[in-house]
Amino acid sequence: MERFGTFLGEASSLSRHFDTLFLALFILCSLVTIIITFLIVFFAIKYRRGASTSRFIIRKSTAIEFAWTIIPFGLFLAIFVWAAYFYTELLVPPDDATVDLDIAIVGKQWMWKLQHPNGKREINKLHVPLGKNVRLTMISQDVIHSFFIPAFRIKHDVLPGRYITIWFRPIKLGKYHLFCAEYCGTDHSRMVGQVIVMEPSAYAQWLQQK
Amino acid sequence: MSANAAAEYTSYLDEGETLKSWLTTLDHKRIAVLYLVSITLFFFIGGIAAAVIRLELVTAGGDFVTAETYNKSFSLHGIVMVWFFLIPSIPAVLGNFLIPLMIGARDLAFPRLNLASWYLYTLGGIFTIGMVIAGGVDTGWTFYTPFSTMFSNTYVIAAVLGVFIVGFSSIFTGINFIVTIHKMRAPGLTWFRLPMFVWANYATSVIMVLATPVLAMTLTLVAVERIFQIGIFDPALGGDPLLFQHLFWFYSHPAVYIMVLPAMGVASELIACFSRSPVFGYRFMAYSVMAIAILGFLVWGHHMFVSGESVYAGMMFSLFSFMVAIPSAIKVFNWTATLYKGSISFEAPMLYALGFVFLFMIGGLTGIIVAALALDVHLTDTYFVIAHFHYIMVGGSVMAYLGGIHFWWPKMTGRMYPEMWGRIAAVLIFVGFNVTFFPQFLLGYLGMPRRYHEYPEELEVLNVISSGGALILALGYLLPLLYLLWSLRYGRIAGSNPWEAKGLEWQTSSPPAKYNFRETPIVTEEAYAYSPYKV
Repeated sequence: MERFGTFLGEASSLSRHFDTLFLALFILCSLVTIIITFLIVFFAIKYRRGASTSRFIIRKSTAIEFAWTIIPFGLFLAIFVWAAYFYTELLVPPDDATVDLDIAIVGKQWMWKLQHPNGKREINKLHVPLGKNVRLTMISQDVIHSFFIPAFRIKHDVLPGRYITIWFRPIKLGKYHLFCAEYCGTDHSRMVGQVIVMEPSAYAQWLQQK
Repeated sequence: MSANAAAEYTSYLDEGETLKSWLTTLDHKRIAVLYLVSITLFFFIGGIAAAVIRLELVTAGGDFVTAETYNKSFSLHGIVMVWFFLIPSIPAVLGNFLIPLMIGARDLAFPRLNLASWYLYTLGGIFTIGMVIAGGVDTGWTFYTPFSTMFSNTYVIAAVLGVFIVGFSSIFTGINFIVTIHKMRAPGLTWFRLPMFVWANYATSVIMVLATPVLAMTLTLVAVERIFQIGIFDPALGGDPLLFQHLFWFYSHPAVYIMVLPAMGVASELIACFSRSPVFGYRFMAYSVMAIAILGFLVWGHHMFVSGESVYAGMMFSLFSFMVAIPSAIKVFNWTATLYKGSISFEAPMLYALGFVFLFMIGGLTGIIVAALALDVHLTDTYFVIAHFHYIMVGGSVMAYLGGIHFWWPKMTGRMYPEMWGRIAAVLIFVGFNVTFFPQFLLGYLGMPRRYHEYPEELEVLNVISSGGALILALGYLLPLLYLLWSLRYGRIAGSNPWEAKGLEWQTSSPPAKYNFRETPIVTEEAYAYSPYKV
């Protein structure tokens, strides 16, 4: 997976939550797939036409139906609560006191324009300091775009006529992909860029350049 | 198609051979054949668009077609496959043909409405083909505003008009099925003796009738907004672009169940027949399809978890999405349990049905993953979602449709398809499908966004595998086209019930006479009165 580091390095404080939950669901789904597939194959062989085996059966299904209605219900509720909890963490940014850095973002066909607190601007690149809570305030100039950093596991649509706020805290130095994830017209797939996570001191220095 | 010389009846196919006799027919079976021909045509048009997409994605750069062409290709692929293939596929072909036969009726309740629905379908299709010839549309099948209303320079109005028209054909079909199933069942055929296929189409019809008008309204608003800029969706005028997404998904999520519920019905028929055992948990299966149809109306917002809808709305839609997964899970368990202590054989329709269960299960389980709010934030609008819904709609619905076509082919045409070729095609499609779409789960997990003409080079290997799979899949889809056409002339004469299946449709001749049954059958037993001992 190393070669996919620009996608999936565990690069933000939210990545870990995603990975834990995803792993749990991956295991659960794999288990269900294996059990059901095993049963289908097993029955298909054991009860194939012509095989001599007992086929006597009293078909009573009510109890078992209730069992396999209620068990998924319980499981689903648990997954729902777990996933919803992390969702609020993403969508409800920390309050002003704990935000270290505010960045303004404008999306337009087909580029990202970003502005740092001291007025420094960049296009299709986002420099951020390691370990700081970064809050993004985003708006679109034309159609709906979507701001997506796979390595941070964050994504949010960017709408015209409305400010959207999300946040992240980068926890690993490096360069990561930035994508537009909502189809926005001809050059949608070129509305991409790079997120560069730097040491805070390097970031401070970078901010002062030109 | 020569009629069996010994038969004393005239089959519906021999009622007239002129084009006019087909285009003015009121016979549900002939209308089903008209639909079969039309949707097959559209399936291959949509398939060509898919081929353009997969060819472009073989390399990371945008080199095979321009970005405009690529965008128009996936828009065409979506529009055609959703509205001109998947939605009408099982209901309008198999449902049209089989529902009157399965309930012992002579036709649908409104034969003229039935023919009108095919004409509307054709008219919508002509609009869509005309739109493509004129230059196409680049909004995606979802027509998201304000891109579709203010920024796209392509033929948006023609495209939404085509979909608007074809929507009414599905409303007509839905009305027809509901009335027919309520009023025209044979004596003794109570609701809980109906085949699951009829239940599934009943549930589907309810969705068609309730949801499709919302689509018509939404597309009308898109056209009006585009022409007059009245400010429904434009925030500069006080509109809201998200309003469109709410309206669109209010139809388009239930539409997913329009595509998959009939497939579930087909799978139940096939699995029961080829394992010689009654569908396990019949009542739960019937309740499940109705539960899916109803709950399906409450989950549309799960397409919008990162769109800007409120956090609490997101939670509610996520919760309902988990709830709608429960009846789907019940169905998978019950199909598996139907195999238990059966007497199972593996003709092509059964291979399709088992393939359906497996692929639908993967599609359903990955549906759980994208219903989980925090996971969807990362996965939405990536190839993970593409893979997920193709497992449901292609792995599920198309497998079931093909299984159904093979199963009822002898009833529709009077002839058998070549069994060995049928099995080869089923296996090819299963393998080709998985090679095409499984890598897309990995691509999406890594973060590859959908609708990308170019993509980062690291992802090339997985994309090449996926395109290779598409080649196998294309071969798998071409095979049945060839050997089914071949069988019309050279296939073995089937006889009225080649599978020794239960169900009223097998009690009449193959192909049936125009009037279906000489005398109205009287039903005295439950559905699926199979026994594994009497083979």
